Amino acid sequence: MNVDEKRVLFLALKAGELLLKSGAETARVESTTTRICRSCGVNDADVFVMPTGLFLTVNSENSQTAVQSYIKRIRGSRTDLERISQLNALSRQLEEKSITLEEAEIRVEQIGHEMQFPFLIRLAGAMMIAGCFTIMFNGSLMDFFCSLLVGALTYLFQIKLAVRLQLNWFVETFLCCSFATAMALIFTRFHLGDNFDPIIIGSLMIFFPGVAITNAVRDILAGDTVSGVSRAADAILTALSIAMGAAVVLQIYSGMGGVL
Amino acid sequence: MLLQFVAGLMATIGYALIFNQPRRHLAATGLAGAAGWILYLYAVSLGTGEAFSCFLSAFLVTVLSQLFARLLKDPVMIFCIPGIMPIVPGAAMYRTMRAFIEHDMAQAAAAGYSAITMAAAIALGLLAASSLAHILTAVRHTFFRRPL
Repeated sequence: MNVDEKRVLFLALKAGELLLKSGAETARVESTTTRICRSCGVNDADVFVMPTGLFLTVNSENSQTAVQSYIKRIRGSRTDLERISQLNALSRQLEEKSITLEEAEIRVEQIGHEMQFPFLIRLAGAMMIAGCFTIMFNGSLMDFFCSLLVGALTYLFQIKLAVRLQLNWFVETFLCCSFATAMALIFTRFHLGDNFDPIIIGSLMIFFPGVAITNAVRDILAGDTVSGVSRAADAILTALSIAMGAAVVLQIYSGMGGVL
Repeated sequence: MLLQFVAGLMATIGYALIFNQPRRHLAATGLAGAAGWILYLYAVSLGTGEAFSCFLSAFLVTVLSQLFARLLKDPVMIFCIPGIMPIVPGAAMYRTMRAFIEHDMAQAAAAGYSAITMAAAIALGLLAASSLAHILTAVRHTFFRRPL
């Protein structure tokens, strides 16, 4: 296998890994990786993608060299729609030959590192989610402001504490939701909010597995049943850990004599 | 209704922000999410069941996402993921959990049932709209030979 072919493969592998980690659906990862290979002249490439790993095999046109396979284990993901958009655009530019292989390699490296929104804007996003859902579930104006505060604290807790501890996602979600519920109960206790139900719902909505649900449906529809079912299981388990996180705190609260 | 529209809009944009959505699509996504939420509320107020309202709303959000995806040339899921969040049955799941804690099994079963049917209805709405788009594209390809 010549060096150039190897570079194409590593480019495709890197792009596929980034896509999968950013929460792209299986079919998109597969089509983008093969598109990158084909547009760089590696025609006989096949890829198999699962939420936890990526397999890429190429057969060189030179019959002397062996068939090459690459396996990439994927761990942990964070939804990043901007990355999906950029990698998708990149693969199409490669297809149209409007950028070279070198430029593409540099771009993929950049896409892997850059972060569009700074932390404060994402924090504002979390506050908007918490506050708006409180209104959507009939919270009062007091509840809205209280919910903004609880949402901000919970998101801070998640990013600054829970993620750094490198817990598995089940425990992470559980802890964050317990924290959100505890904060909502404490704030309503001190009359910062009228009613804790809408406040808790608002803050828990930050953790809802919307990406997993959407991708599960899209995967199953595209015929990637294995990925689809595992994403659906992911969604169900996340929902359970959200409910358990809140339930434990509410149970303790009522055990201590609080009125639910 | 206007307040609910703004709330749905801002909530969807909130998700778009934490999911790091491309900046240029924020308005379109917010619109899709808010439209879905308003349709859901309107359908429920007309007496349509929660689940069917979720189906209609998810269908609308996906159709709008498909439209925006073609207009703005980006993958559908970028618009779809934040867009369906307002109708995800968070409140129903919360009520289920509350009822369990209070040992009110009848209430828990009722709320749990509505949470599960709503989630399934959202999945079906997504599925129906995506299939519809697929069929329309295929029809256009076969009969009019015009690539979309």
